[in-house]
Amino acid sequence: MIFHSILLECCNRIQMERTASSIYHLLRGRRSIQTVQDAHLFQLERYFGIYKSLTRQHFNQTMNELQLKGLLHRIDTEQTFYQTTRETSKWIATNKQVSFPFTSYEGLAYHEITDVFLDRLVLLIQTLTNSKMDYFSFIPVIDKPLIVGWVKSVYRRLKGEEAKFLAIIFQELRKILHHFSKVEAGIFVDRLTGYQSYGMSIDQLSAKYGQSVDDIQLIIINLVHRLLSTLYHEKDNYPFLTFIINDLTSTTRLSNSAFQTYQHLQQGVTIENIARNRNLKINTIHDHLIEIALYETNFPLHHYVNPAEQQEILNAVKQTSSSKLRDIKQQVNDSISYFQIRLVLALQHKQLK
Amino acid sequence: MNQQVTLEQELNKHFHYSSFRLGQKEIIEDVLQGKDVLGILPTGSGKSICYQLPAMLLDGVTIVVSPLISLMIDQVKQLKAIQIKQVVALNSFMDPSERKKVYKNLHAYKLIYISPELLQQEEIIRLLQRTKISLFVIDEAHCISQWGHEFRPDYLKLNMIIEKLNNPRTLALSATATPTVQQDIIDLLNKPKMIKHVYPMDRSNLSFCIEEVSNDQEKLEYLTQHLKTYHVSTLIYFSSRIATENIAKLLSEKLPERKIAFYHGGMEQMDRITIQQQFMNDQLDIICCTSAFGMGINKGNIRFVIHYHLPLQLESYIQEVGRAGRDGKSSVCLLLFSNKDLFIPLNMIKNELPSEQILTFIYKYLSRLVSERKELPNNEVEIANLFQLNEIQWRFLRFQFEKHGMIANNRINFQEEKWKQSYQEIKQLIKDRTSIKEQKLNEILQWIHELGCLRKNLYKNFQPAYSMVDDQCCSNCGFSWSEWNPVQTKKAVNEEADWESKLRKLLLMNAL
Ligand SMILES: [Zn+2]
Repeated sequence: MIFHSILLECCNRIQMERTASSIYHLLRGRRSIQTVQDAHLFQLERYFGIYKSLTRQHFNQTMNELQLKGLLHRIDTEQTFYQTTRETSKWIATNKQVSFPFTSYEGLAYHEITDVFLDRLVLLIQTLTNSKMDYFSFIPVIDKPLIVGWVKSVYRRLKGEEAKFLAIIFQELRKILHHFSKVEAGIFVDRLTGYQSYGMSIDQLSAKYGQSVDDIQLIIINLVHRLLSTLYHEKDNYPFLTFIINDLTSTTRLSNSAFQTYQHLQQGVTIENIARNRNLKINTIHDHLIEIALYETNFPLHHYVNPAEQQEILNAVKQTSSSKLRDIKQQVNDSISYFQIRLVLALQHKQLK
Repeated sequence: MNQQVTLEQELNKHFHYSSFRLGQKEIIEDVLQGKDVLGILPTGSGKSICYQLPAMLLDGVTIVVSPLISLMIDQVKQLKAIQIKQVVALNSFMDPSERKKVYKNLHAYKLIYISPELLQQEEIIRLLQRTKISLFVIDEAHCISQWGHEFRPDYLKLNMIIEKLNNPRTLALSATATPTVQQDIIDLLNKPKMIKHVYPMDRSNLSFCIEEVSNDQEKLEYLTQHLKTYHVSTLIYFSSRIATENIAKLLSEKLPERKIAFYHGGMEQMDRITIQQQFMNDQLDIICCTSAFGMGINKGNIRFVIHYHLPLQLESYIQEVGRAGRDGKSSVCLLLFSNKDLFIPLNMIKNELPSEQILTFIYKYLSRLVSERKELPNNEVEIANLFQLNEIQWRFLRFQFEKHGMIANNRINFQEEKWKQSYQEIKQLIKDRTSIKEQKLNEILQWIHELGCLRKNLYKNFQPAYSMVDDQCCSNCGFSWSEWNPVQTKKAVNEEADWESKLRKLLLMNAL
């Protein structure tokens, strides 16, 4: 239900403006400027990257199901588009109450740290509980090198005081999980692994709670997003949980390459020189700039588009009532580039948010 | 004599075992003396100790070639869990930066697991040439032989690689290799002086049962009935991923008091580890799985191994049932068979290698690339997609094309006569492979319809005799369920606690 609702909501906003693939990329959190911009444009930022394991096949299959139910109308030109039908809004309205409250997603803000937070927490709990029992031949449930490295370094500091820190984790998790429904908290706790007790797989959770495999994953993500947002607002109430994400700041949200560009810009290097130094195309640096504009709170737009040009672009957007770049480009002076339009659009939608 | 004492002490020191199992010591002694060894040891007999202990004792690096990445990763995890840290699994799925880090430090490892594909790369060979290799191990060595049940073309190049690495002592290991395959391994490795250590693979505590049913419905009823009676650690093997999921669901509905899960290669890594460890930990009673489950897993008390689908050959059947009763207690291997099942293995055989049609298409496509002066795409997955092949099919073809000099580093070399000839040869090879597979399938069908002793006929191609049976022998010699009374798993207290108590128990443990 949750997965279906989210798909329908995306279609409802996007309609014929973008292909079906764009929804797939949005949910998977594709690191492309187009996808990030679309998220802003259609006000779907909260769903960005909330279902990273979604496969193309499963996505297509689900869209098909929705079409068969009469909730979507498929249009095939060179590419595939979906329109919502008269039934769609009825369905969304009736199901909003029955399905889970899925209002906590903050995909664009948290998609990068969601997995990191959860993986770190899960592996840290497994390590501390086993270490407390002097049992060192357990098989770690997470084997990503970056996560393992982090847990190792933290464990070195906590070693010898396992009981004390487990008690702190218990207190904080108990406090924070009380903000959630019983089912949500239950799913979260059942997923955890401790000493001689391995957590449940997604399929097991699906069977136990009578929710689809899609929805179980989305419930967990929703829970983690709300949890993260609580942590950001109430740091002092959850010192240990906050510590887990302390090192993950906002610039880490930039892709690696964009971050390098960002550093060069801060040193005053021009776009052309950055491109030459890094042996990249100017277009790529432009993409980085837009990515930076989306994250950076004080982005100096006037450096790249003067106020008159900004106004011209905004007028064109209003006139065409379209968000297609080509339509806008036709309405403005030839001297205004695609890059400038994209930059203005990115910032405009960021402000709307 | 002195050395024997030391070896057992070393075993205890590194692996915490007090004594060797059958065959291990003989193989290790020969390896340590610098001899080339072919070891055939049944599944679950601790094959890996045969190279893991020498790796700890020898000066330099031990290389282990293993066909399955998941298996390599499991082994590394298990070694790290017992505090053996200088081990690594190198494979093409590894993050490149991670791999570079390992490459810089190859000499620092005692044990390097590597996939045969990666060993084809110049870079790693060059690096290994500068490293002291004390032992070269080929795990699942039957993959080298065309007559082996899991032929892997990349394995054929291993003899050249061993040569390039300056001929380190070589240990080839397999759990299932007939005398023909054994000879093939020795010939293809070009090591005529290899010492053979062959140990029988029959197990005196296993009883074999074949039950013919008319359809899937009857299979399910039969399963339900017996799993209701026997609350024991159980594996059910299937030939498709989707079947593991479906039957696990159906069984859970029919047997709500049993804890049942499925396992296959398409699952997320974290879920795979979770299910595997829940089973090891007796949190699960029954696992519905594909052959991806069980490799490298050592659980003593599996009492019941069931085959819901026909296995593709006796070799893999022997391996899979070999996971039952490793603690030596009486265990049952049940195979459910219905005549309608036959099309499944036939299809699987057909799909293993590219069809003649596809082969023709690919030749045409390659010619076109030549005329357009283009190269092959760089990405393996892209190529496989382009030709509508699965990865294994493409790897097979790529090896053939390279062997015939048609492609080298993505460059296509066109020579009409040569291409015509290679086309015929590859076509023939595919035919041969397919007929070997069909022959293997025939063997298993023959075995199923066998009127004589199932045990005797199962092992007859692998060993000359078999040991005395502990309990009941097989359904042909006479098997009665009522006489099989394994110790039942204790009923779990149904602890459907609320999340808060569960969290408390998980994190605070003592203070419930
Ligand atoms: Zn018999």
